[in-house]
Amino acid sequence: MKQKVLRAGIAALSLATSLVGVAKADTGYTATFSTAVAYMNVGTGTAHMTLSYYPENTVTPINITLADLPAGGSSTIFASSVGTLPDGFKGSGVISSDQPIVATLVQISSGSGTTVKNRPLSNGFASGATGVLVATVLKERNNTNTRFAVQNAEASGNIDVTVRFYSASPFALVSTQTATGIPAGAAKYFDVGTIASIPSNFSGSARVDAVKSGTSTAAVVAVTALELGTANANASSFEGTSGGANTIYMPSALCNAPGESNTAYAIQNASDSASASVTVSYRSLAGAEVARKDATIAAGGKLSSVACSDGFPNGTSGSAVITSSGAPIVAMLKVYNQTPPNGAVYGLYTAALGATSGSNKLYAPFVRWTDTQWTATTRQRSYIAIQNIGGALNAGQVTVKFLDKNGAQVGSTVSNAAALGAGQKFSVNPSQAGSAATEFGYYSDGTSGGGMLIEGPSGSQLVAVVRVATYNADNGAMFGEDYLATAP
Amino acid sequence: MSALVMTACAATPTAAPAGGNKASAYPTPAQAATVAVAKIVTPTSGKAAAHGVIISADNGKPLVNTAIRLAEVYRQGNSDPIYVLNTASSPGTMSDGTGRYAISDLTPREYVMFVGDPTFAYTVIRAEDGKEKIWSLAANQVMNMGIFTVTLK
Repeated sequence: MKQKVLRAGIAALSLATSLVGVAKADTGYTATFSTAVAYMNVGTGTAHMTLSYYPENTVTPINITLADLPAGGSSTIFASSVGTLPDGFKGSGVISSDQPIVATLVQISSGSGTTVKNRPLSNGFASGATGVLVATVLKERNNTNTRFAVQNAEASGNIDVTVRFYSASPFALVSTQTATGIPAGAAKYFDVGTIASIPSNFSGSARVDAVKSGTSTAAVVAVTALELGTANANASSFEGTSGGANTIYMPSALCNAPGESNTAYAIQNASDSASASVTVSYRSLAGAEVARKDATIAAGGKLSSVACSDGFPNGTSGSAVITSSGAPIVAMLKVYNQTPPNGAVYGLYTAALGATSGSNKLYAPFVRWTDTQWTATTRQRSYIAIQNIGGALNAGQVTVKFLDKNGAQVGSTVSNAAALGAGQKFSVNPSQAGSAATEFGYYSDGTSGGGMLIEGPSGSQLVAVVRVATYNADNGAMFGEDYLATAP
Repeated sequence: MSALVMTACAATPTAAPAGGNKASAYPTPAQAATVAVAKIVTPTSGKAAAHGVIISADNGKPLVNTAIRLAEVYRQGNSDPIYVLNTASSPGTMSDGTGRYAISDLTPREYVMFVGDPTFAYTVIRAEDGKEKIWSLAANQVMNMGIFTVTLK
C-alpha cells in the first residue's frame, strides 16, 4: 500500500507566566504559540494514520497511531510534551497515511494574559523541496519580526542546513546561518529577531538550502514562517516556497471593503541575477481590469503593491493576477484593517502565498461556522473566496460541499450563481448550505471537525483562500487569518 | 451503556483533587455552593468514567456549554510523555448549565484534560508543579476530576 506522507511543523511554546495566571500584554513576537494540525482525508478509503512526533533535534520520534478517518473526514490534532512549558518547546511532526491527506497548521497564542487573537494558519507539506525561499523576512521592520522553522523532509538521515538572508534594497547577502545534524522529520527554528548579524529595520528574504549530513547531496526541507508584531498583537503565518512562477493569482483584492479591510501584495523577485517586469492587474468582481500597476523589481528585490494606492476603487472587492516577464516571482497576499480600530489591537491581519496554479478540485481541512456563538467569541466562522483562473465557466459549474468530521455532506451543495470569467471570483461560506450547517464543524458531544470540497468541471482551474475568523468583541469587526485550499 | 445520575441537592463542593490547577484558584465555598451538584456517571464494565465542574475565572460562575476533552497520553522510553488531543475522536463532552460534566465509557488509560476548543480558545488543566496534570483512569473507575476555575485563551 502506497504511503502518502505529510510533514507539518508543530511548535508548542508557552511562558511560565501562564502557569501562575499573571496577565501579560503580549505582542505577537513575545507571545508563545501552540500548534494544532487540521487534516483531511482526501482519498477514497478510510485513512489509517500515524503521527511521528519530534521534539527539536530529536533523533527518535514518538510514534502515535491516530484514529482512523473516513474518506472526506477531517479532524485536528493538538500534540505536546508534558512538562516542557516552562522552558518552551519546539518540535515538528510527520503524519503518515495510507490515503492522501491535506493539512493546515493552526497557531494558537497561549498564556493567560495574551492579547494575540489571530490564529495564524499555514499549510503542511506533502513533500519538501531543495532551495526553499522565504518570500519575506523582516527584523524590526514595520514593527514586525519573522521566525521560521526548517524541517528535514527527507525520509531518513540527518541534514545540514544553510540559511542565507538577503536584503531587498539593495539586494545583498546580509547573513548566513547554519544548523547541522537535523534528524529526519525534526526541525530547526530561526528567529530573525535574535540574529545579531541581521540589522534592525531589515526587509528582505531568505533562501534555505540543505545537504545530507557529511555529503554534498542536496536534501529537501519544508519551511513554515511566522510574521509577528513587535509593538502590536499581529501574527500571521505562511509557507516557504521553491522556485517561483511568472503568473500568480490572488483571490482577494480589497480597498476599504468590507469593514475597512485592505490588501497588499508582497512580491519578491525569486531570481538572484535577473530583474522582473511585473504587472499587477486588479479585477472587479465582474472580472474586468479596474486598476493596474507596472513595475520592475531588481534581482532579489521586493515590491509592495497596495490595492488602494494602486487605484483599486475605494469600497470595492475583487481579485488580481500578477504577471512577470523575465525572472520568476513569488507573492504573498496580506489582508489588514486600514486603521487599527482599538489602539494596538489590530483585527484582520493575514498572510497567505499567492497561488501559482489551479485545480478543478480543492480541499480545505479546517472550516467552521456558528450562528449561535459568534458574538460570544467561543466559535469561529470561515469565509471562502474562489477564483477561476482558467477558462470561462457557466453558472452552477463550480460546486462547494461542506463535509463533516466523518466526511458526510452537511446541508445542500452551494455553487456559483453567475458565470465566472477568467480571473473572476465568488465567495461562499457554510451558512449558504442551509440550516444544517449553522454550527458547521461543531458537535454536541464537544468534538469538532469539518472541511470542504470545491469542485469544478474537468480541466477547470480554481484557486481558493479560506479565512477563519473570530468576532472582535472590542469593535464588532473580526480577527482572521487565511490559508489556501489544497489540490489533492 | 452508561447511566447519568444527577444528585439531588449536594451543596457541598466536590473535593478538589490533589495537584490541582495552579493557574486557577479553586472556588471559594460560597462560589462552589452554587454549582457543585455532582454529576455521577457509571461506566460500562471494563471502562472508566470521569466527572467534574468547571468555573469561569472571569466571573466565578459555572462555565456552561463548554467542551471538555480528554487527550490521550503516550509514553515511550525515557522521553517526557506526549499528549495528543484529536478533536474529532478523543473523548469529551459539553458542560451543562451548571458547569458540570460527565464522560462515560472511557478507555482505561492516562489522560490530560482540555477545556474549550484547542483550535481557538482553551486551557489545559495543570498540576501544582505547573505541568499538565495527568489522570490515570482504571477499568471500572469513576474519577472525580474536581472543580477547576479556568480562563479560556
